Amino acid sequence: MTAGLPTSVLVRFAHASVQAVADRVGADVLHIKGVSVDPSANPGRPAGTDADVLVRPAHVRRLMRGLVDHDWLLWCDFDEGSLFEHAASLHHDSYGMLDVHQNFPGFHHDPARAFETLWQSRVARDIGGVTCPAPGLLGEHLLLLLHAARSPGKTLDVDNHWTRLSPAERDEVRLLADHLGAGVGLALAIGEEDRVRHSSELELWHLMRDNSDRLGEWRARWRNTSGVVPRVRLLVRATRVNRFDLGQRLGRPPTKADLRRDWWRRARAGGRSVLLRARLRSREVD
Amino acid sequence: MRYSRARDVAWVIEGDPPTVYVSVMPSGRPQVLKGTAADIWLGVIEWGDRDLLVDDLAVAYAMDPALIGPQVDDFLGELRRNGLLTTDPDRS
Repeated sequence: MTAGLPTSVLVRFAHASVQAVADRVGADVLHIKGVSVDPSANPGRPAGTDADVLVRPAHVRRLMRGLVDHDWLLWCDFDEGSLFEHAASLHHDSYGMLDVHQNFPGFHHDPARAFETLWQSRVARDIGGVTCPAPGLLGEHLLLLLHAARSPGKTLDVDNHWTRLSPAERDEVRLLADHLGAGVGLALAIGEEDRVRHSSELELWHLMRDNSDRLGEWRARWRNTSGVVPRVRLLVRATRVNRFDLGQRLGRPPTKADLRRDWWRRARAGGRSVLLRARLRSREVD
Repeated sequence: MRYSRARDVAWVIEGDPPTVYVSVMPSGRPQVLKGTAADIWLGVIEWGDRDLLVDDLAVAYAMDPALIGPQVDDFLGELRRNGLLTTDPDRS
């Protein structure tokens, strides 16, 4: 079990483990956030409590299979998490938590292109004695700004990766963001929301940042999803239980019975939200 | 005899005096090395050569190298059996 080992050690071991798995299965991963960031560019930033990696989209399946084969337990699959379905969470008895990102909010328009762009400018970081590829400085700036765009209170990241940059460096970040279709996320992070106020994806970012209106999130997803099959898939997902959240609430990995109970709880809560919204709307009409 | 960290072994050093955490990746059980055990690990990383390591430890602990040599060898053997170290016979 992980009890007794400092978090700073667990996180490094988690990075080393996922890199060892990636090497074995031939998956390209970039280590992001936390201990993988350049310390000189991140003064004052805490190391974090879990490890994060971004995997080349074409290599997601082989990496996830490899992780499960090496005792990583899937706690929350990609489609159980955020609006952008960008990350899966895994847990290892000896190394703690790991988030595998198949995408990154802001890079969601073309994740493969975004990964390749970051991969081309990768640098090597030593984490726990293991060589781990990480985004170069420009990619790191943009990644942490996009993370700040959906995480309230990340002012330190905005200071480190925008405010402190020279005008020329800021232009480079803007160019990279435009190249990767991440302009809305960047604008939100750096306080230029007015510039993108007509963007259709702005609502998704707000819902993700506020993280309070689950029904609103699903409605926004519905509006941003077109086609019968994707919408049916979305309906199925809407009632699926988030095993990570449930495990956090229970303090242990959830059992099948826990999942069944929570499915009914979610279905009832969803029904109540729909009814409440319908009543409010009828009052507004009256 | 020369020793080196085995492939796929991750290690982290924390605190003062140092505690060393080592684990065979991708899924080994972490081991915690403290005191002399941590010094031996760090000596292997720094020196590699068994005799240099024993001499260094003898100075640090004000002991006779001939006296601590067998104990150091026992511990190095244990680390090797646990997959944490490898030996390089060509350079022994």
